[in-house]
Amino acid sequence: MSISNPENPNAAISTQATCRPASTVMKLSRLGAFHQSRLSFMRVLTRRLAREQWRYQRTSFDIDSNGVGCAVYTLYGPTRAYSLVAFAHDLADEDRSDRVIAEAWDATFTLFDGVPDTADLARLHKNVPGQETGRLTQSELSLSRANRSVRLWEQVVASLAAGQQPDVAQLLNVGYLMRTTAVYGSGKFGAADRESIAARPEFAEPFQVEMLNVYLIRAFVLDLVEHMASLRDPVHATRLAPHIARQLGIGNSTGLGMAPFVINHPTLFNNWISAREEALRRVRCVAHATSTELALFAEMLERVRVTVARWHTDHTEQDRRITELAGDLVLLASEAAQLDALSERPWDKLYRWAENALGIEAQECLVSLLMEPYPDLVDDLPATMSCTEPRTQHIDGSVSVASTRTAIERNYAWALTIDWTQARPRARAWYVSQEKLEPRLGERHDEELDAYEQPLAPGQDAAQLFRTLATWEDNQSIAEVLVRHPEHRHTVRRLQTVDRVPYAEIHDNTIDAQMQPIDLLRCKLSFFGATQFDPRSDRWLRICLFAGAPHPSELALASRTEADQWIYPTIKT
Amino acid sequence: MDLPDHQDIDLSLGEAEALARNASRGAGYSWGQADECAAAVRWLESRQLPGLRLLSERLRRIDDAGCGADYRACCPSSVHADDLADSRQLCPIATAGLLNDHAHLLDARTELTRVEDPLLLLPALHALAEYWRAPTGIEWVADTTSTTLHIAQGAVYLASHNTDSLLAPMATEISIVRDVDKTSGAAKPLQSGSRACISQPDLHYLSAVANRTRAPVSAESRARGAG
Repeated sequence: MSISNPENPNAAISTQATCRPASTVMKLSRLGAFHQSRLSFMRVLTRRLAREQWRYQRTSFDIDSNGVGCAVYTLYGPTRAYSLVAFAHDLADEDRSDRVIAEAWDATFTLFDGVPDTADLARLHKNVPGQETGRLTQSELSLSRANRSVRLWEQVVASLAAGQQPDVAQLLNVGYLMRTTAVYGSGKFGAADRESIAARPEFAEPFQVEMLNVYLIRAFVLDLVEHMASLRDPVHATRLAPHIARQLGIGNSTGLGMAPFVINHPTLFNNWISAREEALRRVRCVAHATSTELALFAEMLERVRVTVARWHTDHTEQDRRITELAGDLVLLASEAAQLDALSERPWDKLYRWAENALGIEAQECLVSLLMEPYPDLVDDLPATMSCTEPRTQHIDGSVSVASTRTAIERNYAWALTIDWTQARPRARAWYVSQEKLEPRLGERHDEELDAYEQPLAPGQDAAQLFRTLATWEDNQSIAEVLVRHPEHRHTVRRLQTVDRVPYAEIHDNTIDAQMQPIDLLRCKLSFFGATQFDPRSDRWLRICLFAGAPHPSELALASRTEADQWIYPTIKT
Repeated sequence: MDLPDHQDIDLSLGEAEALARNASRGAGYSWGQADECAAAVRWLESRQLPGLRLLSERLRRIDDAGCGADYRACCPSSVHADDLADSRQLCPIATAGLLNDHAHLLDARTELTRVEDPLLLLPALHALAEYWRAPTGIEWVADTTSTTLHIAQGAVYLASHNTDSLLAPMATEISIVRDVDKTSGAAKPLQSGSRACISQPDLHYLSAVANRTRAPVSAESRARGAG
């Protein structure tokens, strides 16, 4: 059996090849080295918007000279329209914070289902600027806010007001004029539940609401900075040059609040990783690459080297990894240059070489790059990345104790080798603070946290269940065990989920003293399509979204290639 | 259906589920039971049944009794008839878990006695109907009135005209029947909904109980910045 690729008949793929094992893929160090790819949710969004010719309209823009007011941006799709409702505020510098917990922002937003009327806008004006203190309705799909990059904002406004373009190098070094500090979707603060919109084709892939929200924020930010410049000097002000505007993205600060997501949604997480691994498998099975495919790979590799050259961070370890990645990409280019149309299974050969020759950052960068020449092989996969199963699955109580033990050994072998009586494997505890209502990671042995621990250490839980089962007979059912041990119900449920799919579980201890929470954050953000990961500590980082993407006003004229490959900078810049 | 008005505050189903999960855990249920409790509340609310109100009343009783959600004191030890006819007052969340876990062992007719907040068993009945792939019915008696519901192909049908016992705090007798005759009675389907509702006092109460799962701020956590 094979799957044919209409663009390249030689690329017929065998279903015999296997995906990488979970024991390799699901290590935190590797998950924390993932990069954006064709499967990333931002790219899925822009491909769809261009393919379906979504129509863009700045429905209203009413911002005063203090930068205060409201704007509405609408995208019209084949059957529905969605509007970003943006509120601009006059925020004192001392009130500006990157933290998710704050009380005021430069701008606040919601994504409205349709086009809001006057009554909707009045209601949203009362509820959106306050963010968590307001209430949304089923007509709203998201809630978000953003702050200016203060120094850069002022420089850009001043330059444009003087009729000049801002310093491009400085702009690219930061990459954005505003950064979001939270983007909430899926039923948060009264907004529509994911289930109520999941059947819409435009939201078939994960996080499309959130990506659309951020994409339209980017359009608003561009308009706002030009508007403020024109108000400052109506005579001389100019607009940002399109090629500079294109390079600006939206920054984002992400902290521990996002970290539990990939643990709390094992089936969804599996679907993300499975799609990525299946894409890799398909490309590795390509029998021969055409000269066009080889050239496209080489071009994307050169362009990703530009991305890496622009990637700056003060984080010592990430900086070391970027340096190593840059060197590895030189090696990769050299190795890839030896491939030609006669090479047998060229990509498999290149990947196997990379496993031994390159660091993890470069290996995972290669995984992303390998997809680029093969849209017809991999672009169907994002549709498999959502999850329609309810969060709480029923437990199959008929499973025997012996089978449950075997399933633990099969899925949590790594956890059974850990001595959980020692301090370091249990050094941390995930909890939610009363003060911030946000997930946090505490030091178990320094603070009184056991009573508040969230179930975010599946390895520890599986090992505890395994220990409990030691006193039960093989042929007893797990239902009998759970009558006595309700404290294991969440673990048994998770085990039965994890045992059905290959990539649902992280194969590392999420409460170990050495665990790096930013690995969890980067993994998730890479699926969004984020670039320029800039860790600010071991538990929060900054990223950039949509830098290089056509603005919505440009989508109608964007080619299929432009609407997709924008994430790779052009070599000449 | 003429249920008492409980529709004061509109919540998304996700919010209702999260509130129920944290409140159940805060009241002493295990995390796994809290997940099931949350799923049950979401299931009820999505059928315009007052899951949050029921949970609020249930957790208040647990608080008043001062015993926490002591699982073993309020759940049958097996699905054997003698155990199910337990004279203790049974917790509907724990009992629902027991019934689902033992679906493979249940007879065509299962009798229970003295189950608190029997409406909270309804999501478990839905799961049993899916497991059996058969219309499944439940009937309970509270005081002198009875409530009869059945689930067929995912839809919930309420057969009784008197809804007084639908929200009864305790059912003295309960029957669960597989392959129920769905044509019996003047059953009408319950409407589905996409939102949840809760009264202000219930929201405050459940939020307060949910807050028990959260750690008070400490000098250590502040000093570490905690992300």
